Amino acid sequence: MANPNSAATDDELIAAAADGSDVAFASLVDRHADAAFRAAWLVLRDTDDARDAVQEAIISIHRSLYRFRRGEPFRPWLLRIVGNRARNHLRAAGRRGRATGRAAAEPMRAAASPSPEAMALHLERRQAVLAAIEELGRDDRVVIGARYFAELSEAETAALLGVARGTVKSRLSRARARLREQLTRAGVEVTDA
Amino acid sequence: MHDRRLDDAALDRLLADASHGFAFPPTPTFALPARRASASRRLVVALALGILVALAAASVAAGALGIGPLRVIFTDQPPEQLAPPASASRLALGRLTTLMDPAIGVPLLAPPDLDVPQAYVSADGARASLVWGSTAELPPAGASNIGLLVMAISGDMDRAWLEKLVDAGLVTIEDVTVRGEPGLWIHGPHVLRFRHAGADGDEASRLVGDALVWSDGTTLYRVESGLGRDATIALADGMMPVRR
Repeated sequence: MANPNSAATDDELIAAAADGSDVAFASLVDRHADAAFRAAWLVLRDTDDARDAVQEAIISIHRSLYRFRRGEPFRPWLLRIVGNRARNHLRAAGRRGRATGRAAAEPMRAAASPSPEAMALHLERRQAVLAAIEELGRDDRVVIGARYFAELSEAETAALLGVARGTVKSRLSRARARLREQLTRAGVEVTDA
Repeated sequence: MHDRRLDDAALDRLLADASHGFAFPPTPTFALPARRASASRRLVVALALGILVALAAASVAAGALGIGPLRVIFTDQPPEQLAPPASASRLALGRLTTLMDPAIGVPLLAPPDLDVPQAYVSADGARASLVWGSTAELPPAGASNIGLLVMAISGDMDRAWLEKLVDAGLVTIEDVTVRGEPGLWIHGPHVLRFRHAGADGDEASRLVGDALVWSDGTTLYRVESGLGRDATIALADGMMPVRR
């Protein structure tokens, strides 16, 4: 049975939530929880830290709803706050680059194929691509993950990273170049299919 | 070793293919802050805020009432606006199955002296429900033709959660003891919403009547019946584990 709030726009939910409706705020969180968590995870590569960062962002947003400019897209605003919280976590942990001195960052994983026999080669290539991404620096991994895996728009990625859209373009271009080098060195073959 | 340059189009294809098979960790449940209502409005306050704070701070299943992955939210919207009345075909309990289905991943309880119930299981096995139709001994529960519904939900917070959306003017909530554990008796029409976190997150909500809720520390149990509080608690106290 569908949530009756599912037809409401973000603006309508924000207006209702700002007016005191906890149900509307819950619906708003539900709608954007996946995007927020995945974005935080891309930055932090740790489920618990990502959950904490998003939880803090939710509390912050709840307090700031009255300030949100209606008519503007909500998700970039959310992702900006999530990105800030995630970077706060990084700074607090004193992390730079990959995690050291503690458990390694959670790796990017390919989902299981429904037909492993038929997809064996395909899966192997996917794993190789993900392994090559793992070898990149943090900033490269995050911008590639945001644009290709979390499917954030350029504006949303810019909000998450706290940079201008032009910066996202240039970071992505450099990240792709470095990934290309990794994949070529790894001998990843590409078909035209 | 191959030394084949990857042009932009080829790289795009590789990344697009990788994204199709990429698996993020399941999205966890997030606690929601609530506002204090003004005197001129009906209450919009989260019940048991201690549960929400405990969840936010420690991310553990046990809250102030020890009711696992349950949160109760007061709303000023009439329950009928949140979900239409349920019918037997729209219970949103999951897949009809058998008691022996290995996909059921939670321990089941049932009264020992009733007929074999219908069994339902959610897609990930974290929620299972046993349903008996209404009879002379089991009057209808809520607005459906269910006589008794016993639901078991995994207490793992990252997998499943429940919300009960209750109108403060229509529903009373009472602390009770069930099978030696703290529980809640929720009397009056309210909306039950449940979902499982994950890539294929499943959410459903329906209008329900009286319900008894308790947790044994690892599993949350819900019982819907039309028997009233004392009889429902007695029924729950006498339930036995279903051997599978």
